[in-house]
Amino acid sequence: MKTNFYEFNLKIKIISGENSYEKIPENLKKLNSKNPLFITDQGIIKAGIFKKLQSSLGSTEIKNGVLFSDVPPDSSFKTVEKIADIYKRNNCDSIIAIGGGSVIDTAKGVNILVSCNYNSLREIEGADMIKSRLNPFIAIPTTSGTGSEITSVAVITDDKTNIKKAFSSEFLLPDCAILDPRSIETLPDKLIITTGLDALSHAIESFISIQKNPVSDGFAVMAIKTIVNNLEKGLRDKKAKFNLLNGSLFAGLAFSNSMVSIVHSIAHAIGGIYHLHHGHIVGLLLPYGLEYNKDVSKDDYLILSDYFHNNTANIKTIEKADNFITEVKNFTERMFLKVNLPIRLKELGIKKDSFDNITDKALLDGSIIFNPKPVYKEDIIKILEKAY
Amino acid sequence: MERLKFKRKKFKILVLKIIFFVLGRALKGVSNFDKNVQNNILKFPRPFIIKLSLESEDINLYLKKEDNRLKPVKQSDYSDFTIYFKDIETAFKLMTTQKRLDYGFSENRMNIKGDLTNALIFTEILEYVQTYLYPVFIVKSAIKKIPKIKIVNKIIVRIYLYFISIPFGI
Repeated sequence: MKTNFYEFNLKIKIISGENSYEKIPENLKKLNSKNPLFITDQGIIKAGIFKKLQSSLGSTEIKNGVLFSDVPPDSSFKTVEKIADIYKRNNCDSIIAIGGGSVIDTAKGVNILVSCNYNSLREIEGADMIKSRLNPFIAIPTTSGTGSEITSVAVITDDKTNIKKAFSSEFLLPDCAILDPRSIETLPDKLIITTGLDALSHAIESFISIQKNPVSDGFAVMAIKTIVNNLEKGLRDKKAKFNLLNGSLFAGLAFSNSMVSIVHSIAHAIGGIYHLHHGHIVGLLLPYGLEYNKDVSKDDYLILSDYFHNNTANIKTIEKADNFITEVKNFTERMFLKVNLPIRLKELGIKKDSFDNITDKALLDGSIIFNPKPVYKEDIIKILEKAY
Repeated sequence: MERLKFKRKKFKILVLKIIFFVLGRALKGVSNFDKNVQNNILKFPRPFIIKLSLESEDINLYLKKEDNRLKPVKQSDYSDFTIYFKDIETAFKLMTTQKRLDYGFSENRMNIKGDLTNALIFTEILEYVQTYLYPVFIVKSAIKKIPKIKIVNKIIVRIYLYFISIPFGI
C-alpha cells in the first residue's frame, strides 16, 4: 500500500457463465422492476446479440420493455438526454445496458438524469456529487476491455464543448453485471486483442497507482493472470474468450477502486485528438509508461513478473523486475502483430508536431494524479518519442 | 439511553479559518508574479469562481478569476468549481501540509463539483503557492510534483508574500 488508508467498494452482484441472461428476470424482480429500458447500439443489434438476449427473456416475468438501439460510438450529453426522455415518457423503472463502454457509460448518464431529476448532466458534473441511490440498473458487457460494468465512472462527451467529461460516484455502479458467453461470441479478433490489452493495462496500472490497496491488488493479479493466459487463445477458443470477459471484470474491480495512471492519461489525450481505438493506444503505450515508473514501482513489477511470465523461476529476483517491462513489451507487440495492428505511434498516423498538444491534454487528465511518480511535460514527450 | 453530543474542534476550526485567509492572499500574491501560475489561471473559463469549502463548519474560501490573476472574494452566491473537504481532519491535514493533495484525492476525502479538469489545474496552482510559502523540507513531503522555480525568484516572491501580500492583501 502507498498510503495507510483505503476504501474498496463492491456493492454489485456479478452473474457470470452459461445462461446468465436467464438470471435477469429474477434479479429485476428483486429490484422491484417490471418495465426496463434496454439501451444498446446498432453493432449489437446487427451481430444478433440483442436477439439472443430478447429470446432468453421470453416466457418469464418480464412482459414489457422499451428498446433504444442507437447509442453512437462516442456518446454525448444529447444522446443521454434523448434516452432519458424516452425512459420518462414510457414510465420505465429500470435500465438494462448491453454493449461496450460507450453503451454502458451512456446508460449510467441516463440513470443519473432519470433518478435525480436533472435535465442535463452539466448540472451534476464532478466527483462524488450524486447523493442517493439511482434506479435499478443491469449492465451486460459485450467487449472484454472497458470494465465499465463494474466501475463507478462514466465518460460522456459534452456536445457544447466537445470535451469528454468524467462522472464518478459509487451510485453509478450497476446493481448487477451479467457476463454471458453469448455476449462476446461475435467479437472480432482485433477487438479481442485491443480490448484485452486495455484490460491488462487497467490491471497493471491499478497495481502500481498511489491508490492501490490489498483488495484491488488481488483482483489486479487475477486479471493479469487471466488475460495473459487467455488473450492469444481467445482468438480461436470460445472458453478463453469468455475467460477474457471475466479478466476484464477483475481488472475493472481493481481499477475502479485504485484507478489508472500515466498510460491512460496519454491514451485519453491521443484518443481525444485522433479518435483512435482506445485499447490500441493503451496497449501500445503500456511498456513505455511502465518504463517511466520503473524506479518507483520496481517492487510491484517484481511481484507482477511472476504472474506475467511462467518461466521466471530460475531468474534472479532483481532481473525479474527489470525483465518485466521487456516481457510486457514482447507480449503486447506479439498480440498486435497476431491481428496485423501497428505497434508504433507513427504507424497510427500520429504527427510529431501534435506531441505538445497531447502532452498538455494528458497533464489535465484525471488519471495522472494517481501515477506513482510525478509527471512533467518533458516526461510525456519522452514517452511519446520512445513509442513513436 | 444516553444522548450524545459531539464536540466541535474549535482549535482546528480556528487554524483552518486562518489558513484559508492566508491561502487566499497568497494565491493572489503568487498570481501577481509567477508566469506558470498565470498561464494555469488562463486555462479556467471566464468568468470563474472557485470555492474551497469545509461545509460542516461553513468555512469557505472564494477565489475569483480576474484575467490571469486569482483574487479572494468575501462571499459569492455561486461557484463554477468547488472542492468540498469531506471532514475537518482532512481539511486540516491537507491545509497544514501534513498530507499530500494527491492522497486527498486518492483516499476519496474530497468532493468535487464541476469540471474535473479544473481540479488538476487548481492542484498545480496550489503546488506553486506551497512551494513559494514553505521551505524545501516541508514542500518535499507535502507536494508530489514540486515545481521547478529558480531559487532567486523563490526568495523574492516568498519575501513579497510574507511581508506584503499576506499582511496587506496586495
